Amino acid sequence: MMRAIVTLAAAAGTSLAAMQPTFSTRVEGVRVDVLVTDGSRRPLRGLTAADFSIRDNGVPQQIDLVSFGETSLNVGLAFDLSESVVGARLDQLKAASAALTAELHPGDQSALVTFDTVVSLPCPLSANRLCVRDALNAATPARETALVDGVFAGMMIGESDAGRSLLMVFSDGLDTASFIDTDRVLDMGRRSDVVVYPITTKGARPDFLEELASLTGGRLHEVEASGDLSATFRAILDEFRHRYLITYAPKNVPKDGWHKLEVMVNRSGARVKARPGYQGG
Amino acid sequence: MRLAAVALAVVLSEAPNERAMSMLRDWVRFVDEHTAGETDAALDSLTAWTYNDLELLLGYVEALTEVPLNIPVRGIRKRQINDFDLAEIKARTKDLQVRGDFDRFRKRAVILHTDAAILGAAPVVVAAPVADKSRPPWRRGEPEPRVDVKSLDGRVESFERANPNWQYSMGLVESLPAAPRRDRFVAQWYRAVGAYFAKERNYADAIGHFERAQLVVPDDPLVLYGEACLQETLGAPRIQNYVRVTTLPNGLVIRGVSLPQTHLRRAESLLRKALAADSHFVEANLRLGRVLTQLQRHEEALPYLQAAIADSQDRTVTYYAHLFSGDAALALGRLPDSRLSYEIAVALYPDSQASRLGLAAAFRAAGDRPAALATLERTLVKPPASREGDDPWWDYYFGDAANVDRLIEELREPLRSRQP
Repeated sequence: MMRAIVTLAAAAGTSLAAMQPTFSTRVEGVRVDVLVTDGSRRPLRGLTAADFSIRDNGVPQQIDLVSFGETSLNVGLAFDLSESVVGARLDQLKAASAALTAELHPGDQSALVTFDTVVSLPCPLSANRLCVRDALNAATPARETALVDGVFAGMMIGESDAGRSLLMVFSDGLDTASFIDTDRVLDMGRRSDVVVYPITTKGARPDFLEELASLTGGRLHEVEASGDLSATFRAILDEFRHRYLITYAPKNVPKDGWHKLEVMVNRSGARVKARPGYQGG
Repeated sequence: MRLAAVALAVVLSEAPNERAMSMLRDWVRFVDEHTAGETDAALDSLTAWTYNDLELLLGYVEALTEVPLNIPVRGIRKRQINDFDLAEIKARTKDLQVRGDFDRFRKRAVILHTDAAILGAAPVVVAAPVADKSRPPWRRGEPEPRVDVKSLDGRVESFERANPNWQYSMGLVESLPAAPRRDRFVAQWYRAVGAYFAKERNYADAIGHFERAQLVVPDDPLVLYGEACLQETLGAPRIQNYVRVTTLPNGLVIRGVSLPQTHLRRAESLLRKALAADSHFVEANLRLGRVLTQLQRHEEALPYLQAAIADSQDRTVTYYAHLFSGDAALALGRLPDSRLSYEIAVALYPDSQASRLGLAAAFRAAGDRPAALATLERTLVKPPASREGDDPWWDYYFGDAANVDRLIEELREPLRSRQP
């Protein structure tokens, strides 16, 4: 994802009505989170920069850095705690979250955003492993579902730290209360480094979450109503941990607009999953 | 939330005339004895009748109060009454006309059934009915009864029979003289009950309610506004998402909900009509601005939102107008304007979630992620239980519902007693 350093030219204290901001930008580089698996969907390890090639809008790029499992993770959880998530479903969510946080490594951070009609941040991004457990134990599902607002907030939290960010979104329902529209969050997905893995119950048909997962290089997981959420949560974390992080400085491509990305690996049978592109400018 | 499922066949049984005529006599007594807005003996007796009883009686009440036969089913119901009973009903109508203000009697009858629907027993829950494929598809204007789908947070909870008291009220309202001009009570009733449906999220009854209003009071700006609010809600994600994923059993389908653009364009047309009647109708300007932003016509939306800001004396309406102006400006890439609008909305309701989400989006679009996060965090860190009422946005789709108690009281008050 292109990171732009933005300088606001207007002086502090200038009234907003009079303010005509000037922006200057410079490109730091593009980061692409890539999952490479073999024919059995097991992560392929030990690849180096020489094994990857990348095209930005069809133009081959020089890869600066490929890292694997070296960077600590920011694991954001955005959970639907609306009225439909009561009883067994909430218990499953608590158990799955406990299983997930137990798998975090030293240096990893976690955050919890909850949403019903109200979006909340009971656990800001931190190394505190107990916060998520305590927050879910205190939770009382209520009201409607502001799914899009909750995802928007979750992505903002994920972007707040320079580390690799995973956002796991759990919802068993439909959006019934959001203010932010889906197009704005999808556009955010095109401009963000956060990789989104939604988990929904079967039958929810969450087009928005599926599209967001695809745009960010994540994957939608649909579970049975009584399905094992713990296994799903652990599998997502494991998959994310075994992804490569590729960095390059784009050359010979216009800065603005949509950049189609093609990531290739010179291993036969290898399957590559990465975001399909990014929004520049 | 209640939406209407497919209409069921009307159950026509042998009319037990004595029973119907006896009920009709009781019904007249209930109208006379009921005190508007109170759960009194008359109301209790009426609500003790089953829905089947009420369906049996409906044609008799329509004949007695001279409800116009402008819907085919009303004619069918009347033809099922035998001549002997019809003659007696006609004599009773004359008695009512002679004894005093017949229109007042009819209005009090409207109030009786409106009260029965609002204050009476809980809806009748039924098993999911089976769609009758041998019947022709449902058409607008077809008679009740129908079955409503009640859902909670996107999940089907139960099926309920539509409350026949609304059908009574609607017919009785139409029995009031239409010429030389409609009684003011008619538009007042359509507005108040529309607001009640919005408050109850009873979209099933609201759809039929406003379909009828289009024919009966087509030019009343407040009724037009009420329907526009309904159409805006039907086009919103909360309804569209539900309808998109909900599969009902037994071949049932949800009716009355079309594509979002269809509802939004309908809302636009209704609001323009309301504004043609009253160009300073603040809420209509606000809603038209919002509808146009939803239709991606942001530039066109802004003058309506600005008009609402200029004319509004209400903090909540002003908040909405700035909030939606922020959206329109953001969509147009006018980041300073967008930020300013959202900041005014934040100033009006400092802990409102929607305004802070919008402002965060504006900061983020300008590349200032730390400011975006700081804006949002202030509201996110408050415990959810302490945030009830923080944001008017959470009530936006209830439309006129905030006024419902006043509107219903304004209906009841002049009709509280039998005599003026």
